[in-house]
Amino acid sequence: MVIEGRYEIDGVPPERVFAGLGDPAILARSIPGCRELADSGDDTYELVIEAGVGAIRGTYAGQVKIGERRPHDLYEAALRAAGSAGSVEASMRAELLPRGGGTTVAYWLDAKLAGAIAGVGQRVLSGASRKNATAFLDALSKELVAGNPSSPDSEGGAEAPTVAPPTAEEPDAPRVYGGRSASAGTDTRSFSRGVVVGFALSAATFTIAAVLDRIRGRR
Amino acid sequence: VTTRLIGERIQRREDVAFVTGAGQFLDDIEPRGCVHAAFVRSRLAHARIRDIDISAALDVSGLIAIYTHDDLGAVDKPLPLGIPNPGLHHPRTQYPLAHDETHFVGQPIALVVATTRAIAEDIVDRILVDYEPLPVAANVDAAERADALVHADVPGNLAAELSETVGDPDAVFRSAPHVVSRRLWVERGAAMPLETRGVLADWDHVAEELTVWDSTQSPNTIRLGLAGTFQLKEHSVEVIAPDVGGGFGVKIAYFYPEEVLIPFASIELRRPVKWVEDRREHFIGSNHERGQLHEARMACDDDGRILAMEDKFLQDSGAFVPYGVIIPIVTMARLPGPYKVPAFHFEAKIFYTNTVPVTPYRGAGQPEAVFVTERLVDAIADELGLDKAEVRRRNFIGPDEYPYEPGTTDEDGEPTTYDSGNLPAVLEKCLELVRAGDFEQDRVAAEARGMKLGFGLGAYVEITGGELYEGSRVQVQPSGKVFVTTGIGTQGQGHKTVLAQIAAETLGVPMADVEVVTGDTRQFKWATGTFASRIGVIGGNAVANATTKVREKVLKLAAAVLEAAEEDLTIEDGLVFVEGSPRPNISLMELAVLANPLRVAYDEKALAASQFASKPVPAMEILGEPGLEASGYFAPHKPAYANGCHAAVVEIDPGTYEMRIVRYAAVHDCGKVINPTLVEGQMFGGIAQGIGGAFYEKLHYDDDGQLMNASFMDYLIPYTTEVPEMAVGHVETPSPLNPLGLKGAGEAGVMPPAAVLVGAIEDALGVPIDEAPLSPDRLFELAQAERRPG
Repeated sequence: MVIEGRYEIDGVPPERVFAGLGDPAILARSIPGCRELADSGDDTYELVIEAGVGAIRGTYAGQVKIGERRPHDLYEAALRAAGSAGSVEASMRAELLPRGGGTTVAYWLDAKLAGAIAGVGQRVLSGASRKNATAFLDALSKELVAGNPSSPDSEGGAEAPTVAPPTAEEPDAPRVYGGRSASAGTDTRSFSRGVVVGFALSAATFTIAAVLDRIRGRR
Repeated sequence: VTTRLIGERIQRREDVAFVTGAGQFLDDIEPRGCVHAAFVRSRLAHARIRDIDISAALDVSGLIAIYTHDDLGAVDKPLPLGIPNPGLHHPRTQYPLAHDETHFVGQPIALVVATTRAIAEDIVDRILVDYEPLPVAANVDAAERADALVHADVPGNLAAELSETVGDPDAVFRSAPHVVSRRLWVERGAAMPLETRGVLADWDHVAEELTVWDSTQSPNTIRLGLAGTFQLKEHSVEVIAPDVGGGFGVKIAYFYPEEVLIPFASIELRRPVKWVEDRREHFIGSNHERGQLHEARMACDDDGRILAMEDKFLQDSGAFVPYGVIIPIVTMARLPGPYKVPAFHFEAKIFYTNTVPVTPYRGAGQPEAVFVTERLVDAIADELGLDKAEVRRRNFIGPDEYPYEPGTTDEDGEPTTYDSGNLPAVLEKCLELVRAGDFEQDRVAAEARGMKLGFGLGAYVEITGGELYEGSRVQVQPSGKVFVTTGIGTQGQGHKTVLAQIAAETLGVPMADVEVVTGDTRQFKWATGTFASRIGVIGGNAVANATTKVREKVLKLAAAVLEAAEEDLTIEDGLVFVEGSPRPNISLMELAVLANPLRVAYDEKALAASQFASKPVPAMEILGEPGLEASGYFAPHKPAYANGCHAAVVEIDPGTYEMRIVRYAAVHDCGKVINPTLVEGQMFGGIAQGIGGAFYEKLHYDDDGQLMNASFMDYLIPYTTEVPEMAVGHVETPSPLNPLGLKGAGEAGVMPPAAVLVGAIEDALGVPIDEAPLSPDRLFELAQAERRPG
């Protein structure tokens, strides 16, 4: 399935949006349900996300690999993640276009869902996907507008990190960035309603919006 | 005079237990020490399995065993192929657990046994399967293109090809004054019984006996299959189908993987193992049906008489063919339907796809055929400006033309022969029940309210009561109770009621004295199974054959006791009378005691039978064997063909395309009706499922072979709120093929609704519709497309 969308970020120029997309600390806090995002070098991040649709909930572990990056207007990434409720593979591309003092993010996502997650809750996905597609970008733009720091060490204010920082005894341990608990923060209600739309979306950085639009069109 | 029970509206005796929660379904049964199973199922539609990593599962407390195909020993072989047919040139069935390749989402890969189902599921989550995705053919279009092969050794994904030709249809089509053609799509759907599948196996290692409870439609077939699979003596395996919450065909497939694997695990572990499918598993682990694309046409003369028919169709058969290709075979046999079609050519291509296998669901290919034929007959009516009923009248097989051979071939390879029927009477009664005469007036009134009204009509023939045999043992017990046992499985149809009616009337006892046992191979070991609308016909006549033999014994013994001639005896309400006045009599209870001579008199009644009785009756000399007991069988020579007609008036809101069924009428001819209430129940339920197929039910696979609506949240089935009041009627044309004159009634209800309702919608809107199901938004799209020029 291919999903396309546009999102306007007012007051933040493409340079800063681009920087934000490349900042794992900001990403970790912006991706809904993100438990953990660990930089394993080589433009690759290991990530753990909690997500669910209806009764199909679970923890997904996977990998985001950053693809082509062209400062400050193009950003590509690929995701693979799997959990008990299924798996996702997605590739994503975002173009950043200046618009006044702000940025228009034009995103394109191709995601493949498999397993229970693919079979259950498509209707929920369809209803909520557009909204949730913007949840990430809302969070990201808030981060950028607020000019929040990127260091993982300075976290722990309003949004308690749910993952411990790397231990000092392991010098080679990846830097781990805490995410925002699925049950905390401004999106609480939609999460607790079970409308956690695609973990893939959030994981690939841009919501995975759903297959459903296409399906519905076909029915 | 014997009390009439056959044909009466007797209340179902099953229902008190069901409505009070006293039913015993598979999941209600849990032997001591029972452990539970869950399956790792493929999450990809087509993949190579590179590795199955169980290391993360091993430390889970409660784990008992994990099996992959390597562990299955002799069981690790492809499951049996049901109903082979010469047209099935590339049959493929699955291994109980996938080897290095999976072919559909849901295919079992590993079996986990744990102390509870919840723990088993947690363990399933911890087993990591490393898949290498392979190209997927998720539908018939993709299968036909054959860019992706479902099975590497099946060229073009083509499992089977079938064809039938009568006369020279091509020549007729070239010269006929009118030809109508349609491209029709019948969506894939599923039976969706309220109770999912389940298996419980209990291996007794000391006695070397296997007892299996299975929510199957064919306990005896499973018993014989398990005995063969595990190399056990036939009498060392017993299969019990307890109360089963609906089957509709999906529980007939012999064997599902779980039906072998759960007994396997029980034997390995020497303890009871239970697996009960959850609903999500059912969507991807239990078979589907329908899914046909037809290119069909009909030629007719200026009066609308059918001259020829042609249908070329594609069948989506799913990834395997455990039940052969019976669906397209039956579809093809049923295409001429109730009409005289002098020339035809039918051909089917049956493709493998990376989806759940396709096996019979109520109707088993017949609803598809009815959809095609009735849409074409409607097209003739349109073409010639004829009334829908009139076109059908002109083409029906006449009541005096039976036995009638439409020229097709039944699933047993024999020529189809309709034994009897009276289609014109069925049609007229149906038109009356739907108040067809009021329709034009109603249409005008609806227009005034801004609504569109449409009229739909559809007729069908239904194959029933065919194949093999059924049997029954009837015994009058010393308590006076009459035990009727059969080996059939029952899934809510009311077999215990109708078989009791037949036994009571043919034996001459009160129905309350008759107890019927079904679905338990410990009680009766000879049976075929419950499918294809056959139990009333075959099981009913088998019971009647058994009671006839018991009756003969009763009369012989009573004649000796009452010192009368057998011809002078009658049996009424459990008493044998000598005709005349006074009417000396003896009860069947006393005769049952006398029929088993005893050395020990354990009560007053038994004293009468003991060798020390004052007037001993030489029962063994008279009967040659003890007891008032006999087994009877019935093996039909040919299937009995039922038929019927449905009609509907549908109202559509042209603003929203919301559809409402205003009136629905159905008339069925199943020969002699055993119990009108139960036949009507079959019709109501079947029509409800047909309405599901017409408006709601669609299994949506994406191009990657993921089933995207695998829950009742998204796969819609009609509630009672979507099922209208129905007017139903019966026409009784007794079948000459069996002593009771019966025909089946199980599947007819589901056959015409899609054709009738789509026809009515087409009539209301004037928009050609070639598919089902139809949602309001889809209908809106079709109407918009029609409005657009070009």
